[in-house]
Amino acid sequence: MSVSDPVAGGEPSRTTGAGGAGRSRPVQPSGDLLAPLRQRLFRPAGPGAGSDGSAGSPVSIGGRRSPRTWPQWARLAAFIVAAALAPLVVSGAYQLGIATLVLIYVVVSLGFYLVFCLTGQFSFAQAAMFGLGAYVGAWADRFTGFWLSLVIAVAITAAVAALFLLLVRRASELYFAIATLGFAEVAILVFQNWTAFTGSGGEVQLTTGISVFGAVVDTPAGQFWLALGFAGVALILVKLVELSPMRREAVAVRDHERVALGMGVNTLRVRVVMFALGSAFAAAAGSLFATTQGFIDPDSFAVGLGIDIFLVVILGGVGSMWGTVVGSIFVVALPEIARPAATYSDLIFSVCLLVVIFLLPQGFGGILQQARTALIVRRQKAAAGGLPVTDQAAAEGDR
Amino acid sequence: MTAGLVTDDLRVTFGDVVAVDGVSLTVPGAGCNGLIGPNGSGKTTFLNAVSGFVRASGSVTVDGRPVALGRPRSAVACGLARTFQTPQTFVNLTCRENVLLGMSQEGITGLSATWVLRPRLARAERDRWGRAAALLDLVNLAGRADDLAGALSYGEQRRLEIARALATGPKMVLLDEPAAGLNQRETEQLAELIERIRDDGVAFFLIEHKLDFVTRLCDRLSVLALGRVIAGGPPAEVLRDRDVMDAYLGMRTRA
Repeated sequence: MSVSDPVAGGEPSRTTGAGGAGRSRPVQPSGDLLAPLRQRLFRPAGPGAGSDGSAGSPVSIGGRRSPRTWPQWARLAAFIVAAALAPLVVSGAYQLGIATLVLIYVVVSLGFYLVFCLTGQFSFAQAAMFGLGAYVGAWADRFTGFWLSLVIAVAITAAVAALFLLLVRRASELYFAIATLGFAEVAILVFQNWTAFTGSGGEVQLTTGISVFGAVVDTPAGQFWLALGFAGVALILVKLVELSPMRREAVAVRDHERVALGMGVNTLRVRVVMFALGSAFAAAAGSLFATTQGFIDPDSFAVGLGIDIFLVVILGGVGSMWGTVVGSIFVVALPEIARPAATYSDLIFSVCLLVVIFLLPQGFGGILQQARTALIVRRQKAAAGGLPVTDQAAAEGDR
Repeated sequence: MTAGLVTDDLRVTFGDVVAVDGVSLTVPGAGCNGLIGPNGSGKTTFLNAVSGFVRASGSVTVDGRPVALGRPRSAVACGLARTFQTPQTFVNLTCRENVLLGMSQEGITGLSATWVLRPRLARAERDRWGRAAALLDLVNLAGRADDLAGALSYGEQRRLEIARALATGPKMVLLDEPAAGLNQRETEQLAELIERIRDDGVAFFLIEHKLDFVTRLCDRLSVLALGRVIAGGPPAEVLRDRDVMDAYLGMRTRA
């Protein structure tokens, strides 16, 4: 137990004298090497962010007592409907294939959103969980249909994730990250070498297709809709978590695990549940990925994919689950669009990442919200500054 | 009078340094009591040991119920809640959510409730919202319920911490230098707030340097120096004590 813990504290700085508003930020634990990054990523959003549904907080608007959640559900439904219409506009098999991959990325990134963005667990294992889901799914697919193999893949991956977390629960943040990196590397080795379970060199060819209500899904549009179903369910589940007490407990664990513990929060349970759940998302995505691609090899699930998933949430913005959608489009579709400039794709990505980290800590997805916040603030200012306006309104009301 | 908080031979060591050196203390389970002592005498470490934030040996009981040492959740379950020297609020959560976090021990916050038992969850949550609103009202933050805690001033964060501590339904609240960094007016308001909560039947045990604040609030004071209790009694008596003066001025104990 370190003495430099914020809980232990030093002597208070009475020199501050009057309680100034400037000292509102609590001290971060020293010795926490990732603290600067986290502070940058998870700092409080601008004014009004707390009362915004897109910030994921079930708070009241306009002094209402009960949380008003229907706009968030409406947004979700609108997204799913709009996306479902895409195959009517885009018909090319290639484009639909890319779109399907985007949706698979959305599912696996939503899992990472739960693990990292909400609970603050810096994990490189998400790609390995994706792979585990793909391999277990592909293995079970030989004996069962797709849907049962999906359930098996999700259950086994979630159990492995929970077990892994319990093993490394004492590792502090940076060591936890390294442990997950180790897990990811070991997983790749297992995929490559446990050939009885996978295949020669870890390569597996899947032959059976997916059938939904007896109809085999083999067209690009069908696969897209199936992936959209997965993404829709994932978005709904995450939204439910965000509207439940789990969210505040997860954020408390992320920002101040020990203080949360001191408030009676079962921090280990929160961590295990969120990690297992996030991994279950990855497994579902992996299982779908294996079946839609028809072929998997260990290289698809290497640490590079883990970094891709990290990029998705950073580029999209860690503050909202919609960031995973924006980020997935960037990470999957941009390299395809920029294929003529493939030589420079890594460079383009690096520049994007730097721009986001320095200028847009809330990601590309945060731009919209920032614009809206600015608009609200300006409107409020106009309303507060312009007494004549209210007078006029009152006069109009009298009439 | 109930037994309240009893520590027996509580000892905390950091390597070779003995920060708390066998403290046996009985704090009544009602009213307001205090612990004073010079810088580095182990006051905060004592509080951390009692609330489970550092490993310690010895024993701590609350109304006869033993607290598992080194386990903050056990302390909360036994009816101890605490605040921190520097306010440790969750700046990315709203004030309401901060207070609601104090009710986490009540259950129905898990995934099953989130997905399957939603109506039950909603009922429990509505009830919690009502209590959170009342607590925020008590600490005069009713209007800020939906603001992020990070937007509050230093003094407001202190009050929010008290509301959050009360949300755990404690028998006793441990305050770690509650008046530090507050100006005269804010200190006065804080004292009134503590008196009001005390009169509602919650006991307080506080560490403080501001002696007028301590003498105003506390029924009894204990004095800690170099990790040992050197005096105890009513504030006026304790502050007249020759040993206490020496400890504060560092004449004999540090020589």
